[in-house]
Order: sequence, then structure tokens, then C-alpha cells
Amino acid sequence: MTTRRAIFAALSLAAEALAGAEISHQSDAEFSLTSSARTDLGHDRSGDVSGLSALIREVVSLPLGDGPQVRAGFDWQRFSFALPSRAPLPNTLQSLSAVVGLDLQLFDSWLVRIEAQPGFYSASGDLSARDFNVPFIIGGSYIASADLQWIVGVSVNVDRAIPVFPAVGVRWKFADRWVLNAVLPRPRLEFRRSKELTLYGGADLRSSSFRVSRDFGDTHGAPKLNRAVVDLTEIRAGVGASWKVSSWLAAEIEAGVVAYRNFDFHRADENYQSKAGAAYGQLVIGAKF
Amino acid sequence: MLRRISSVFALLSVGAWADPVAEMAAFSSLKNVDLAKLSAGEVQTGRGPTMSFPRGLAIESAFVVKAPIARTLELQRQWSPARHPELKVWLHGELPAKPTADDFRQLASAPTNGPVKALIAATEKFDAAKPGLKVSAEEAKTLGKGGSAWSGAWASVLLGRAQAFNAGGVARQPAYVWKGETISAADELGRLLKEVPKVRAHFSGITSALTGGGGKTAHYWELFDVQGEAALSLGATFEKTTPGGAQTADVQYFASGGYFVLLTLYQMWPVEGGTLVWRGDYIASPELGELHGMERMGSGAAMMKQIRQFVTAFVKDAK
Repeated sequence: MTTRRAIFAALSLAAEALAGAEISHQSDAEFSLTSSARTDLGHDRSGDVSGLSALIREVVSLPLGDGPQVRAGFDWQRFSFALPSRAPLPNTLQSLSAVVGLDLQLFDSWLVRIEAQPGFYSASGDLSARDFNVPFIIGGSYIASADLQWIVGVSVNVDRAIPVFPAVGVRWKFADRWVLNAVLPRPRLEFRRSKELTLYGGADLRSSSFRVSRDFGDTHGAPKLNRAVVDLTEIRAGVGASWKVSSWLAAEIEAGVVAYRNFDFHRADENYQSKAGAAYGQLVIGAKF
Repeated sequence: MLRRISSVFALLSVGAWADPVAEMAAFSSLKNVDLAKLSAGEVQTGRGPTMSFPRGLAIESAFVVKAPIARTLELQRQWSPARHPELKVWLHGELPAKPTADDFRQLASAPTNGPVKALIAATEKFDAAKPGLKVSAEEAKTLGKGGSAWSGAWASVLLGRAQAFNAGGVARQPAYVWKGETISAADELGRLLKEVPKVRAHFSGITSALTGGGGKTAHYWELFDVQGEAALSLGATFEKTTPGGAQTADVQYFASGGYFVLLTLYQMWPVEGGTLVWRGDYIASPELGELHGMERMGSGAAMMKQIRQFVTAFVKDAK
């Protein structure tokens, strides 16, 4: 009884704290298909690998008074591959993580984001404590003017072959309708066709780490891959269109080439790279309200 | 005894108001301005209070002009941002007490850059069913005629609105529908001021004049850039002397694009070597209402930069 009363008290306190605060949501759904790409499978073998990926992400931002904004939510991502028989590759890589972070402004000109994604990054449906990881980013944006912003950041993932990955970028509106948005992981050159439609061309660098199952190596003829960490890296180049459907809803359609894909079991010293490019198509729906 | 206590409080309060930095801290969000740094040329900017009005944003700044208050006011009356290309205000025209269409003739010689072409295109293709420009149903009838009539059409719209302002201030501005919502400049202004009660109280003497329209010291129109598309605005400035200082209110009560209302308030105090100026910018913009989280923070930071640019240009001209 006392516990229940305490919970109600805590809930009503939380409701009181949140009353009047502007809570905003950002929801994204992404679906992508890639055609077959000849891929090295080790032992002088190669085979065609095609895939599809999906992502769903929901993040809520809550301002703390006049200061920082707390971010919380979840992120689910899944890569599925059609593989040749006996390929030493996982046919599914997926992650389910929380999103926990903070956005804050420092001085007049710096915006900073600190965001961690604690969760499970696995190549099988059986989640275990060993699949748990907490990759995080710290990024800063220096607002030089309304038309020019410099970005610096670092991505940390202890499971990745390169655990600490620094990056710099720039967002520069260099003409009335043109923006150079050279910011990782999606550097782009954008052309604002109208208030609703933006056309762009650019790249997409994707990199995530997952842990395969404890018998993955045994079942794929490479025992050293049991419970190994695999980094999936893709470099895509493409063109697309972003359509602002309404004040809160946007859709993006993109097509291009997956120029590079690598399954890197770096701790087991095995990696399997694509030997040719593959076509891809992608649809992203985003809502902010 | 009671009288003595009152006197002590009175002395304390006079003492507080005699210190402009303390007075600034009392009504604004700038609590720790460094007068020495401002006198050396620094412009301090900061966010105003976070508004519950979703499309409202407040930015405050403080700076020192190396001129006495009277001269600073005079410079402010004469100042044109169009003299500074980096500010992207291409045309600035002063309006007389009784404006006519001829006062907007500069429009016909507007620069033929991309943003102005975009405004011309938006004017010529104006569709009342899906308006991309902020005009009333009555004003919409003058737009969308094509050819070289765009400047004439806008001169007519601006003249009508300037005359309405002369007749009854912001309250007489025709409302218009924007994305399904009826927008009234007076309501937007009221909602902005409601969010900043201390500032509203401090400037109550001058902001009340905005609704009447009389007693203004300047009335003007501008052609300026809003994210790659030109927009036209109308604004008016009011002045008021205060004990030991002066106040100015500049209200841009109409803009064809970008924002609904922009109110800029100034409090000036005499300080050694010039005038200490506090400036508060209060904007109501539909785009702001669509931004959330980090994007909204970013827009605030970008607006701070823009205001700093305007202030720096003004201070430079005042030297």
C-alpha cells in the first residue's frame, strides 16, 4: 500500500514537473534494399550477397527549464542478407537499444549533443549479456552564422575495430538554394527546389558492431568466429529527394550504389569485403512534432 | 518610524536604479554584463526566457555605443541596414506622415538577384487557395497578375497597411490566413509580450503606443532576405525618455515572408564614454513553431549571430 502510494506520489510529481514543458518527438522509419554484390567469402571463394535493412527510431526531447534538453527513446535496426550457401557470414544483424542523451547550448555559439545507445547488438535472436554494448557520440556544432556551421564530433564504440572515430564537418549555405552539408555520416550537396522539395546527392557511411552467436563459427566452418564481434561497414553514394509533406511530416527517397561493404571480424582477423558495387533504393519517413 | 523605513527602501531602490547594470539585470535575462568589456566593443547576447508560445523566440543583447544618448537616438532614426550588404537588407525606405504609392517607387529598381526573383515568382503565381505570401484575402486580389506589375501590387499592399497603422497602430492591421490559422499582428504581439512580463512592465509606457500608432519617430519599409526568398516588411519606431535614459520600440508589424511580427525594444543609459544599450528581440515566426529540440536551439543561436551582426554594423556606423 505504501509502495503504491509512493508510486502515485512520484507520478504526480513527475506530471507536475512536466506540465507546461514542451515535449517534442522525433520518429523515423527507414527501409532500404540492395541488389546482389559479388563478395569475398574467404578461401578464394566469392558469392553474391544482397540485403535489406530497416530502422525504426523514436526519440522524445524534454527541455529542462531554459537550459539543456534531455533526449530519451529507442532505436531498432535490422540488416538481413541473402547469402550463398556456406558463406561465413550472418544472415541477420540487429540491434535494439535505448537512446539516452542531452542537447545543450554552450556560450552563444556552440550546440552540443551527447548521446549513448545502450542496448543489444546481436547477429541472432538469442540475446545475451555479451551482446550488450554502449556506443556513444559527443558532437559539437559551432554556429558561425545562419549560413555557416562547423561540426566536430567523436563516436566511441569499444567493439568497433576503430573504437574512437573523430570527425569534422561543415554545413554551408553558399548560395540562395544550395547547401553543402558535409557532415558525417551523411555528407550531402543539397539543392532547395522549393520550400517543400530538396534534391540532394551525397554519401552515406554506415558502421555498426554486432556479436554473433556462440556457435556461429562451428556452424559456419570457422570455430574462431564463435561469439566474435563483426563490424558491418557500408559506404553508399546516391541521389535523392526530400519532400516536406507537412509541417511535421517528411519523406525521403534515395537511390544509388553501395560502393563498399565489409564484414570485419577484426578480433578474429577475418574480413569479407564486397568486390563490386550494388544498387540500392531507400525510403525514409520522418515525423517531428 | 514607518516613514524612516520607507525612506531607507526608497534610497536603496534609487541606489539600485542608479546602476544601469543592476537595472538591466532586474528586468532582463542578462544578469552579468561586464560594462568594461562592452565599453571595449564587445556585444553580449543571450537567450530570453523560453516561451510557451510555440512560434515565439526571445534574444537579448547588450552593447555600448560611443555616443551620448541623444546622438544614439538620432543615429538610430537615420540608420539603414541597406548600407551593409552582409545584412541582406536590399532596400530600406522611410515613409512620411502621409505615405503615398510613390514612397515605394524604389521597389521597381529592386536588385535582380535570386531571392527577389523568387518573390516576384511567388507574387505572380500567387494562389489564394494555397497562399505562400502573408496577405489578407482583400490584398490577395492585387497579387497574381503577372508581368511587371509585381512592384505596383506590393506598393498597393504596403501602402494600405502603412495607412492602417497610421490610423490605429498594430490593432488595425488586416488579419490573414496562414496554414489554416487566422493571424493578427496585434494578437502575435500580445502573445510575445505576455511571455516576458518583466520586460512588458518595464516598457509598458512605450509598448502601449504600438497599438495606437501615433507618436512614432520613424515609419519605414524594407526588402530583405529570408532563407533565399526576398520578403517585404513594414516597421515603425517609437521613443520615450525615461529618468536617466531613453527607451525605443521598433515593431515590424508586417512581413510578406519569414515572420508574423518582430518587436525590438531598447533601453539606453548614459555611461562613461557613451551609451549602454540593452536590446530585446521578440519574434513570432511560423517556421519556429515547426522546430523542436536541437533545431530550435540552433535557430536561437543563429538568430543571436544575426542580431550581433546588426548591432556590430550599427555600432560601427555610430563611431
